[in-house]
Amino acid sequence: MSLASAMTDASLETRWFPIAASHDLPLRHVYHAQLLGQEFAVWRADDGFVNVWENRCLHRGVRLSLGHNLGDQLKCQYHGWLYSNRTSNCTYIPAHPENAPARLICNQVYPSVERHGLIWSSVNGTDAPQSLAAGDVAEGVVLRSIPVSEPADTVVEALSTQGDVPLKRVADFELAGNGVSVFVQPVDEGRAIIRGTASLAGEDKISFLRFHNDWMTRLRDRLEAKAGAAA
Amino acid sequence: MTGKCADQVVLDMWHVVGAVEDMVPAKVKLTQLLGEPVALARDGSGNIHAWRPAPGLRHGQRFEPELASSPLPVKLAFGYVWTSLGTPKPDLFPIPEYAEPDRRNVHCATFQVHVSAPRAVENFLDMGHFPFVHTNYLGIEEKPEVKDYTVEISAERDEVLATKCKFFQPMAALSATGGMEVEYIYRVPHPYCAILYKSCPADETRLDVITIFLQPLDEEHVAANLLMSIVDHDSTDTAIKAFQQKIFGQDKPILENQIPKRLPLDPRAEMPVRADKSSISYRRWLTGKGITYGTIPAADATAA
Amino acid sequence: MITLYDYELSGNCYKVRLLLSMLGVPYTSHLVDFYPGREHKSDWFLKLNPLGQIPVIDDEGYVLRDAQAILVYLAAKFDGTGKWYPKDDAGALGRIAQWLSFADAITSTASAARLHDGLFYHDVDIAACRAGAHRQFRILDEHLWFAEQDGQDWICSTGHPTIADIACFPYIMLSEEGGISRQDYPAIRRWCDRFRRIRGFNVMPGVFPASPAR
Repeated sequence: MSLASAMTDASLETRWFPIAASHDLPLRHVYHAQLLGQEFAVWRADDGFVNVWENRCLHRGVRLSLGHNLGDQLKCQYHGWLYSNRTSNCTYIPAHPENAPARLICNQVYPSVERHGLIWSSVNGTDAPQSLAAGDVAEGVVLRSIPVSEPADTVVEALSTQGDVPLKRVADFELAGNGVSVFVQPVDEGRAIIRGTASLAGEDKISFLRFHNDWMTRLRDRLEAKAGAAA
Repeated sequence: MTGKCADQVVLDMWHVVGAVEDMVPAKVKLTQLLGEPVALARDGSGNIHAWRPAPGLRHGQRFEPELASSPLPVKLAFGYVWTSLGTPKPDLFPIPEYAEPDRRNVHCATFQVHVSAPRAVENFLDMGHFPFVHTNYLGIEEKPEVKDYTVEISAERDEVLATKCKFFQPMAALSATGGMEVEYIYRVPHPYCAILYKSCPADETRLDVITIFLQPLDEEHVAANLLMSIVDHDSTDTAIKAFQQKIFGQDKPILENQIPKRLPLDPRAEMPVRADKSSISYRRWLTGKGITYGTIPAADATAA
Repeated sequence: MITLYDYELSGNCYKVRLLLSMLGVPYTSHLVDFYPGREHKSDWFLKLNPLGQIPVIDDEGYVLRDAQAILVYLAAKFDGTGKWYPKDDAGALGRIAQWLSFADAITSTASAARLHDGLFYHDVDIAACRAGAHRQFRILDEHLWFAEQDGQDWICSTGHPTIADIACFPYIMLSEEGGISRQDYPAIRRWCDRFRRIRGFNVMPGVFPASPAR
């Protein structure tokens, strides 16, 4: 079965994917993520907890990635509604400052796990599995992620055959080789993000990161050029 | 921008298609209404023509009367051109204040926005966002309360009417010199048009009138026409336009980040609070009229 | 006093307003009815700037056009710290000029796309503008990501924001009004947060403030 047809498979929705890097969540930032078409607002509270929420305020549908990370709450840009860290319960509706919000106002929350320098989540998953990756994950540095305007299966195929670093497929969206682990995040039907970790072997870190950034970027450019020429 | 309109109620209405003063004389203006191409022109005698263009007609080309072989009805009102793809009633809604001799009637701008017309109307009716979207102009975060107000659906005039709306504003208008509690009245006389009346800083016996007339280019794109009809003898037209463009420019990123872009009419689809009474009535009014274009009707709306 | 020929919704005018605000330099705005009035193409304005573009400043008779040029002039004249435009650092000046030129290139893509989508500029090749903006944003995102890895927050590695950051910010932050999403540029999004936390920052329509961090 191709991954493209797997995209419509409900089993993918229970699967866990990396959706951000730990370094994507600096203090008081809201990261805009997407997995299998579902948009997320991802934010780290000051206590370290990583919130992965549907990117949509319940009140009038505005993207929460426009909002403000206040450290313990997320504030919607439209009407200033406050949603609490961890629970996503609405704690304050400024238009009615004297009234506590009804308890039932609670955002759609997705599970999150931070591991290997990456933030993992799932569209319809429950408990995170013991091991988020099928193979051993290279530890050390997190590579710069490379968004590609091509379907995830095309990207996986290219990584396993055309990359400058020999990678073997470990699982449907996972490859490994030469001290590098690579994960392909299916953003939607036509887009993917290449994420990776690597063990740094005594080299200059910046040069090492640049090396991997450069070959992945070339791979992306070749893929997109090929698709552009075919179109 | 595709998708023809199958909503007969909407097809039979008058829709705004631009400001008269923005029309370049004797040049064809190509636009879109309800997903269909529409051409407009002002001829040498000042008459306005609207028609369904034949393929190949270019924007900006010289107007010749024979181009307009499939004419559409034209109405001029409030400085704007209105047309219809169906069979409209003779009259458009009234705004009596517009004709008062000492008013400044200023067409402030026409902006295209990536949103449905009903979402834009609803934002126009909303006071709760003032402190957060129009910070330090129409509201401040320290005074965010939306006090109780009155909403009715006038059967006689077939419009939504919200009255006794009050909100603290630090700079309610260009002519304001300080913060004041501002009183608002809102009218929605057309599914895609809204009018607000607010305290006039220059004359406490009068009300400034601000309107938004939305041209539905398609279900998820509008051309928003902003008109001010105000009592202000001091400000220049440029300054009046700049103020209203600033305010609407602050709303634009909000409107373009609303998901879904069409307005859900099912009361359970989004989470209103008391401050949203006018929005609730507006959605109910649209449901009652059977408006499907630019909305997501409730699943059981036809049964209700 | 400086007069700024100004239009509220112009990102290029916003560049000048930002620097004046960050430097605390007082000025008066002479509002130009850019849209729908096209006053920047009127006779009186063309005398001021024959290119028919805003912004223009008039500093006691010294008239200057072009947002990037105005940033250079204002920083050189009014920034006592010398950090926004380090006049004695040849390496930094070269980099700043490089990114000022990049900012101008963003004007021809992201700003043009915004005029097409918002203000009915029919003659814009919207697909080409969006594609061009994405190419530029990929370059900047990569640059900023590696700057972060190197402990740098700003476009030029001087340890302080420069006029290059100011020149690049407006049309990046307004890009979504031209249908250009920034979802794929996380390092740009973080830089936008940092930029909005600079002392003296203020907003324009289409740009919201960032919540404070520390």
